[in-house]
Amino acid sequence: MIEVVVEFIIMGGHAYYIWPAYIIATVGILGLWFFSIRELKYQKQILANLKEDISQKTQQRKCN
Amino acid sequence: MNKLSWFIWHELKISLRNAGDTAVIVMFFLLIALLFPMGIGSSAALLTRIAPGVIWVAAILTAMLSLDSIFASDFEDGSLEQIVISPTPLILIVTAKFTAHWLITGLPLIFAVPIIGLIYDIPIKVFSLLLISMGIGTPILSLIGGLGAALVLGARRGGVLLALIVLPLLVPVLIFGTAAADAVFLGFSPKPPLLLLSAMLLAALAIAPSITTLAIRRALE
Amino acid sequence: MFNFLANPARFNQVTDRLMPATAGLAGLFLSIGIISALIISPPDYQQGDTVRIMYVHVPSAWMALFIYSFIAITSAIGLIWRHPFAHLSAQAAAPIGITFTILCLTTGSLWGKPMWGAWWVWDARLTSVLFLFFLYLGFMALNKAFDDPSRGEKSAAILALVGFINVPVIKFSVDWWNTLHQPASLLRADGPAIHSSMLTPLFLMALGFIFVAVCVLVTRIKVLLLKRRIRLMRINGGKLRS
Repeated sequence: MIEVVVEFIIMGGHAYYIWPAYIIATVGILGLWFFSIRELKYQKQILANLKEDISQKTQQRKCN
Repeated sequence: MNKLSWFIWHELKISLRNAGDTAVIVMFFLLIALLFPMGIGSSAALLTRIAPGVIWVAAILTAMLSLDSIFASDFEDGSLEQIVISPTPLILIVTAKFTAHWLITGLPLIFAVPIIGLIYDIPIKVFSLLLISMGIGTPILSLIGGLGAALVLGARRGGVLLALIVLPLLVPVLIFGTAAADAVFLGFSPKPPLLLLSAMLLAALAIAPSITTLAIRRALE
Repeated sequence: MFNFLANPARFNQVTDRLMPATAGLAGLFLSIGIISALIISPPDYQQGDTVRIMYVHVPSAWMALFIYSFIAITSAIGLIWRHPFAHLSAQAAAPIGITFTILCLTTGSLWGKPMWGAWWVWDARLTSVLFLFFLYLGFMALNKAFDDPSRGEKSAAILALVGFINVPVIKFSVDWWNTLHQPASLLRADGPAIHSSMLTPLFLMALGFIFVAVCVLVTRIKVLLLKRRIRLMRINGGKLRS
């Protein structure tokens, strides 16, 4: 059983090339997705702050 | 057509007022070509072999240097806007500017090539093919480069950006331009690369001026 | 279709509903694809296990080209019908395209080392993809280079179209250059014919990549829509104050 796993990891002696390729692809794609979602959250936050800001200003104006 | 030649003459007159620019451009071209032996070494055989490639790369880099200003000064002082709203078709003026740019910065390079040819000891056959390929190819640099210059009008760091967007587009010109002269070394007919280069010149002539007018109009909207 | 989705509220509504399914499909295809690529598919009789790199390398190359075509088409729509949403889609797609281009180049390099004995070989395809990378870079840089965003997207759209016309020319010239300088003695990366046991993981991975790309594209379009809205609010807010 272990031999099968080891053989799988060794990849016929080309582990050094195959695994990095898959890792880079995974990191690249997931990273792109992750950063896009984070950017979306960030922009949503900015929008929320801005809305609050504007509503406060209009209220101040009403008081004046 | 008469109108076009008048505009070309007009552009030329403006550019010739600063004839020093042309001299600087030619000197830059020569300097790049002279730097290669400093970096690579003075082996005559090697230099002869790489000469066409070096000359073409130098020509493309030199074009980058001068393209920056093809529309920029007119754009900054607002005269480009005047040109766009004037009754003269914009494409005529764009074509005139491209032609003038080639006459001032492209053609002089071809005249400077013999000096590099002597230094690099290029055989006469390679040399003549190189001149032909540069005659066909350098107008493409002005056309595609001018299009790129119109696209970066008003951009931050326009000069670097221009090189970034134009250099990849000029790869085929470099390949076929060099190959025509290299044909002698590699032992094949120089005809295919020269024909391909001519086809690219025709395509660029057909497409570049009209797209450039589009880009200029977009820049002034 | 474009007009339907161009309304931001409707766009958010539709995509929010479709997002989980798309993301699920992406995960499904990618997980089956990776299992199939790493375990089920046989090693190549010539290249051994390194052929497994193909299952990320080749779909990345497809995506790189596919997304560049998408950018060119949306740019054309944006220029002809002056549709801001089209420019927005093109702008949102560019980072995805460049990511796949970089993946294609790095995995190609990792495949090249055991096959050709060098990290970089001036293989015609690899070289063409390298120039595709620079075309992407130029598009993205031009997009961001102007103070007025609408000016940047128009210039970048024109560049995308010019680049799109130029891609086949670059490919052809590099192919030509390659046969000129390197007699065809190299082992071709993908061999003459691919066995069906290798096609299955290839297509599974490609499908997974497409669904991931759609998810990211939608997210990035939302980001750009929000940015536009925030910018407009700031301009209007400034007027309110003064």
